[in-house]
Amino acid sequence: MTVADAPDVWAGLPRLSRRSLTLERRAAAWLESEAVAAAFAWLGLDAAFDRPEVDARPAALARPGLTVQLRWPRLGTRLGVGVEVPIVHAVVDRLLGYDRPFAEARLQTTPVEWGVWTYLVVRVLEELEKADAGPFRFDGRGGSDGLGLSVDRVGPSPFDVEGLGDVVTIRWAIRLGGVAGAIRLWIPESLASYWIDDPKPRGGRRPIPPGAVESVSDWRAVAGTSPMPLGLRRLRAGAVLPLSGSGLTGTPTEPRGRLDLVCAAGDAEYRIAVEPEPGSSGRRVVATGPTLRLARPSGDPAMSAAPNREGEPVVDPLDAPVTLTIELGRLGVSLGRLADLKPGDVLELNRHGREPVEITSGGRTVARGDLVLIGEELGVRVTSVFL
Amino acid sequence: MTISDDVEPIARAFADPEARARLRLRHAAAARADVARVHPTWLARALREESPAVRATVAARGPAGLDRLLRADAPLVAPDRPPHPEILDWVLALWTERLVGGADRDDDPPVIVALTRLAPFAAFRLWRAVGLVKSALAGEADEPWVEERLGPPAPDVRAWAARDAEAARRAGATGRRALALLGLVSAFRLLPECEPFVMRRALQRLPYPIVRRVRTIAPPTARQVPAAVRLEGTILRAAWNRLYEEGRTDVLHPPEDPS
Repeated sequence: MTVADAPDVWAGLPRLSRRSLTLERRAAAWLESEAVAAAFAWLGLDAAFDRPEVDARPAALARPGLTVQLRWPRLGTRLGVGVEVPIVHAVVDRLLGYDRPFAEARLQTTPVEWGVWTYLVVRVLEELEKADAGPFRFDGRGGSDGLGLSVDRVGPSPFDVEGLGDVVTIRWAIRLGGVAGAIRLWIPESLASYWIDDPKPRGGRRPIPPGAVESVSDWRAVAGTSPMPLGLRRLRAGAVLPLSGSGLTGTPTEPRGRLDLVCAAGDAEYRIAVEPEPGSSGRRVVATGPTLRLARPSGDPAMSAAPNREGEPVVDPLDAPVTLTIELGRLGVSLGRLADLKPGDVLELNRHGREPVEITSGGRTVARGDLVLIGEELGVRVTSVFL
Repeated sequence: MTISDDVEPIARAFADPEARARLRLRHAAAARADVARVHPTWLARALREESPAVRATVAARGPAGLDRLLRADAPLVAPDRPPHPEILDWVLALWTERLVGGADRDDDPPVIVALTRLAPFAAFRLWRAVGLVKSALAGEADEPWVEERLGPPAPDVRAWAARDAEAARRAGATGRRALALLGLVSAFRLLPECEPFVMRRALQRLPYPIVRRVRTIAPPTARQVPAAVRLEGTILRAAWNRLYEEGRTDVLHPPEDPS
């Protein structure tokens, strides 16, 4: 493995995700459409939404506020909507004719507010259905799919992403009078491609100016790896994986030591050495070295390290040896931030200390787990497998 | 469509229009608390954790007198525009969700009848009489009629009653209020024998601070001692009958379920 002398952030960076950009554009167009505006008109609220931001992870699940869990029986899946506390209050207050003093914007949400929000959600779903303004289409035709969503629960408990596979977060910043906050939609990644395009393109879309898109590269905070010489089939919920090649120590709730931020781009791999910031439960990391460009290792080391199985064909890909990567979290770093990054800078991961870590193979999430102590070293107990 | 053998008796029972009407009334009563039958301190408590906008909305449009209680807690904000009519309806329906509704039933146990159907002063008089009986059992009150009616108390009964009397004294009440508080201890030992929502509905008739105070004397326990529950029932009946005989209440002690 060779280390380049200087970071070459332009070679392969930024790694813009076409899917994310498409989903952002579609989510923005959907909210701006006349049908959606009509579905919200009965509320009489003058809310201003920013351009949506897409995060290819279930971000901010543990942020306190109000969570709406929606069930989609026809597709056997669930969606979540998270509303930040100030917006929960502001909507109910304004509908009752009041403006809350700024100092009280972050008080706890209350049962009556949950009840009112339950009604608002049910009513908005009805209005969206009536106006055929649902965001998803499965056959490309409007009016035939309906929304078919039902409300599971509305309350302060976080959205449970267990069993949903990869989850995408769409975040809209919202301003309501003098109150600012955000609303998040968590959807299974598999649904994202069904989000309809702008239903009524008006005389051709304006090209997105380069300045309107913040060039963001996706970085993974890699805590270590764990070889699976007998393949992914052996990966089971409840299994405990030791971390090999990890500089991470401490406790599951307060990890210490070294980990790497990794961004793969083309045939190169960029790495930044970081350490968890003390007292942040692994939520924030401090850069301890420069951005390094390394040659991207070709193939999975476990493949070549596995014993020769001559005469014993691998009949199932799940039996092939792989190396799992344990990720403490991910983050998007803009080009400007990356160019200015220096040792000592603090970066925030989008995983809270209480959330599970992700176990990936070739960049794809195959399982989630909790950090555990194995003797005096950290390992991961697998809690769910997505194979 | 055919009705199976299991379902037929139920279907027959509800074919009676009177039964259906009774069921409808009970559902209606249980679905929504009658705030006129709830002590105002419980109403204020139901709104204690609510947002200023919800408190102010209910104060302006809720039961009379509630705004005074709420203002005593914190100043109420004033709206600067009319509320959304649909949301106003929801708030005025939702704020009572912590309160329990329900209708009186013929088979309500005596403790429920005492708490829910007597006028406040009659109820106070009854619980004071109950406290007096227990005080006499503890040997702290000279009420010969108690011994005539219940017989001389066994030593363990005397010690048990004395413990309650001492606990009520420690709670700081004096005079007639101390006796009423002691009487309510008997009520709190009888209430867990009732359905939980019926118990809650009955408690809502008492001032909430009194309920908290009695709970400190007789904390709710997972398991009641059957003998103590029977004794409390006997004390309540003795006190109630005495008041009735003296013409100080016109409500009879209800007949108890023989089971």
